[in-house]
Amino acid sequence: MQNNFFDSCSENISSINYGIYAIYRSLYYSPLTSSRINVLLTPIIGAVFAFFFSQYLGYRNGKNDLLKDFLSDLDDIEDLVTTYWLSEYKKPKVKYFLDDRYVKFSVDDELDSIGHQLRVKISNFSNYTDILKKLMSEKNFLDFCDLDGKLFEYATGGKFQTLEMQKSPEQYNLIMDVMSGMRILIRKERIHPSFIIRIINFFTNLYRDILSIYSRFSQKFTSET
Amino acid sequence: MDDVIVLKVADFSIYPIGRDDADSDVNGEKFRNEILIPALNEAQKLSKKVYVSLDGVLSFGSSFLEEAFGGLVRSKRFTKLFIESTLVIECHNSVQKRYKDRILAYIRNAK
Repeated sequence: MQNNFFDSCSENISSINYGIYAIYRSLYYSPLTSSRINVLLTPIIGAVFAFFFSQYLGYRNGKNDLLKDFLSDLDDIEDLVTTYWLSEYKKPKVKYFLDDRYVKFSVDDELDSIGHQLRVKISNFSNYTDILKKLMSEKNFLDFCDLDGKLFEYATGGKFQTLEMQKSPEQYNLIMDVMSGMRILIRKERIHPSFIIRIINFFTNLYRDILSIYSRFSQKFTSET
Repeated sequence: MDDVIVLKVADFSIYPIGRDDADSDVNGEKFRNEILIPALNEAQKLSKKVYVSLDGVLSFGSSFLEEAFGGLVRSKRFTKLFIESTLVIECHNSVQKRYKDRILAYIRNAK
């Protein structure tokens, strides 16, 4: 009875072993089954590739969104700069002196208010430049910081917030040149969606080519054996 | 810290404006004449450094900084070399770093 039981167990184990061996052999030793390896590996490789690519796309999208915010901030600054440096002061500015002491002067309140907005906006803009350090190449970041300093100097320099403040197309031109340089640097770092599509197409074609070469190679190997 | 004089711009104003008295009560010329020059005079006598702290100031206009620091060189009271070696601008963040860079540029480029 006991012998029968052990016999049947050993037969079962043998058959399992044989089954595993057969699968193993069919997968790894027989070139006839290379298509099965394909069937197993293709979805796995595809899933891994898709995972990393989706992570990459997420990173790129996040980066593009941040860079868009910088461009949007520059647009706001441009609006303020345009108003501040290209508007005629409506009220004449007059100094009043009493006993050689400054007492009061009148300014164009509206443009004075724009001046404060511009100054604060430019100051706050610098708060975020540290973020750009992580998004830009080192050279572009250094160039951007240089331009950021110039933007501060031109937009809030010269006769800015002084009694002699007048509209200045020259100053406006200088500021716009600097801002244009900043925009170019930011756009250089942005990946355009069409660029991503080109990358996807490139890798898709590459993957297809590899698969077709592999299948041709395996067919040839099969026919020879 | 005995060998340094610490100047806090925020003690003068947290929102300095303009170049001279005609622009505001807290202007660059006033800061230069009433705060910076006396401090540099003392530093010259006692061989001290002058630390300028930008902490607490909400924002600067470039016109204020240029008048205050570039004006130091134009006033001819001190040599550019002395100013550059004596003044130390403290900065703790990217905004202050930008102000510091501009201040040093104004001193360097002033004639």
